[in-house]
Amino acid sequence: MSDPSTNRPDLDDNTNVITDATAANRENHMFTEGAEPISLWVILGGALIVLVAGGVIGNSFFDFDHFVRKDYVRASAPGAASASTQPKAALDAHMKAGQKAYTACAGCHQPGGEGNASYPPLANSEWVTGPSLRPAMIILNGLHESITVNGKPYNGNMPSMGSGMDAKQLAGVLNFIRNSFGNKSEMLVSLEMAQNALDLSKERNGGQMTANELDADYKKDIEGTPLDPQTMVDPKTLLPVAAAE
Amino acid sequence: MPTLSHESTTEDTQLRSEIDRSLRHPVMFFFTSGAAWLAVSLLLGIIASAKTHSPGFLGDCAWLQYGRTFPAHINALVYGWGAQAGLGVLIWLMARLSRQPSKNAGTLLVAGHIWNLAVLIGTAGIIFGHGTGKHWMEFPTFVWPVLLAAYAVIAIWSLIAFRVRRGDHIYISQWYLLGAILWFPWVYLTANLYIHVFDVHPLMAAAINGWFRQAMVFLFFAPIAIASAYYITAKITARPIYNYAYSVGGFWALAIIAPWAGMHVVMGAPIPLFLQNMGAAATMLAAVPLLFAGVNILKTAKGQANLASHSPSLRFTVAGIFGMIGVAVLGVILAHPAAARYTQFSLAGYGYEVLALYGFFSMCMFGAIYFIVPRITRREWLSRRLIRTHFWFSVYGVLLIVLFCTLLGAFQQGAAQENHIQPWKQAVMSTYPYAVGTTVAWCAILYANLYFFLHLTLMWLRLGRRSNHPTLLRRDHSAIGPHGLEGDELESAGA
Repeated sequence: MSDPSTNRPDLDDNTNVITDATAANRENHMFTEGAEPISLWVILGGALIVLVAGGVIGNSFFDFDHFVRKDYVRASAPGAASASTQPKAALDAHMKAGQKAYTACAGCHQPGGEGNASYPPLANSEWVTGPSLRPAMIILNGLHESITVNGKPYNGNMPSMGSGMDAKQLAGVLNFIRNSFGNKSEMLVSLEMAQNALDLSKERNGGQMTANELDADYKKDIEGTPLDPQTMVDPKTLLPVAAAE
Repeated sequence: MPTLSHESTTEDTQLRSEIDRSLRHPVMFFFTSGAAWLAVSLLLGIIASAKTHSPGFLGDCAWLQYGRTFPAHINALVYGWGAQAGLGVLIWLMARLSRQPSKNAGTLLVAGHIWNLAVLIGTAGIIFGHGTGKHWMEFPTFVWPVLLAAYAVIAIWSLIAFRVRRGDHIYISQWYLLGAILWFPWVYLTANLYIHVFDVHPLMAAAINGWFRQAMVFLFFAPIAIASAYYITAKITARPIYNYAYSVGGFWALAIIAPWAGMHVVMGAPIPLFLQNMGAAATMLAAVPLLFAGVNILKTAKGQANLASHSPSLRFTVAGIFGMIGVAVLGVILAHPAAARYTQFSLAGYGYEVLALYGFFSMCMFGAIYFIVPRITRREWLSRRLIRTHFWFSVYGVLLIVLFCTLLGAFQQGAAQENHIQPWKQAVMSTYPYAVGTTVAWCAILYANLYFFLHLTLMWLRLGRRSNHPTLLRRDHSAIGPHGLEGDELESAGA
């Protein structure tokens, strides 16, 4: 600090540059040549990180399912109400209920609804796809004597399926056969309609139907308001739920 | 203590003081206005944090709601404090290492004022409801070109100083500074163009936003902080960098890995999968260069515990390096897809950002500021007690926030959210104690930084001590230390 060669006045202070810049004066030189060995655990730590990160890449780099559950629907947590209580479209709910009930029919009418030599097909049959009351009465009361389906006569004997059947099952199975095997109906049979059919069948009180009786008295739609296939319904009760829910 | 060979020649000292002198106005401006923004940001952060557990706090005014105070808080922290402290350190350190006095102090000062004005307008914009809703980019869209232009005017001179540097050797800090200078405009321009200008799918914009935040941490804040830490540590301990080859390798590893990181924030979203996985893997891999830099710096300072407890610069820097190692480790944990399940939609990301911005970057910046300011003002810090308060309240504050946000709160909140039978409110309520704790921790950090701002302002007003002795944090055992009277004793002795 007392070095005379640096005794140069500063610009705005009258003090010596060096004396005033004491902080700069006491600074150390920098050294860069250090080459001490890096300890093993640092290398190992780095290797561990690389390993874990490599696992992320290697495991699942292009595997969408690894991260995302299918259709973005969460699996139910244990003990939670099941996802099957979520409202769904009426068509899906009815088809599901009907498909279950249809197992009783599949023995004769076949799983694909094509029938066989003795039993008539449901696929593309006017008896099924036509007015909804006729198939309902056949299911509830059974059918005997001759019936012509798609120009072909059949002489089978169908027992009554109606005992213990409720509106939900009837609506389900009706909607299922009317919307499967290539069949397609604009509107679904509602629970109200199914109940009306059940009541009507009860009034009739007895015996298998014949094709003639069906054509004479029951060639019409079941009374009641049909259901739009897109209405959201509760999958358990098949009752429509409010849209706001 | 320095041996003879470490002592500076008169020519060196003259050059240093010339450089310090040439940059004193812009650097002090960046530091002081940065510290002011830090205080503002912390205040907003406290309000935002309080709103998470007591929504009625401060009533119903729209501009004090969480949705506005939180983005204002984080943007003021990033652009008001972080970028300004970073720029101040960057221009000073680059000038020193390139051994070139600045000839553009006036330009820097003007650009600095424009930067501050833009941050002010942007923050006010957010508070009055014109935020963009893109994390860390909430300033109204007209602000970003102004910030970028101001940045360009500031940083170009450091680039030129590097270009015309004296001496051929490029010190490791210069590599990092050069990286930060060039990466910031790339990251900032790319993200803003894609998010604010081009018509990008909103989902992709969210992914780009995640990349932007991670890149700001890894490619702007981290390089400046590491540059400063390498410099401060080597300078104060008067030792060579522990392993110089590794420090250079760490830089290039960061440069190669870090640009890939960040898109894992939208893990599980329907964007190309490799982007998310690459983002996760790169965020984890970036821990390697950070870890190596951290170990290298700590090894350089090893055995100098006495020095670290005496020197505020070294103590803050070492704390910041521990923060950096924390960032690296937390990055590995939080970016892993297995943890993302719990932490992705929780407080964890915020805790990570606070650790990166405050626990790592800001602590390193404080270290640098405690080193630089006495040189450019030619005054010593006034009070070791203020520095100690600043240090301990900062350390405990940031530790608590990271603990509450990132570990306890996040995993608890994440687990509660996974349990989707419970109402979501329950998941929020489960973090209540941690949210209160976070508010308290922010209050501690604000307390620390109000003193820091006051101290810095006094230094700016050239009210610092005129003394030959630095303000160290501890007295030596003897009544009069080996170097004579020190710190406050000098004042009391009437020297």
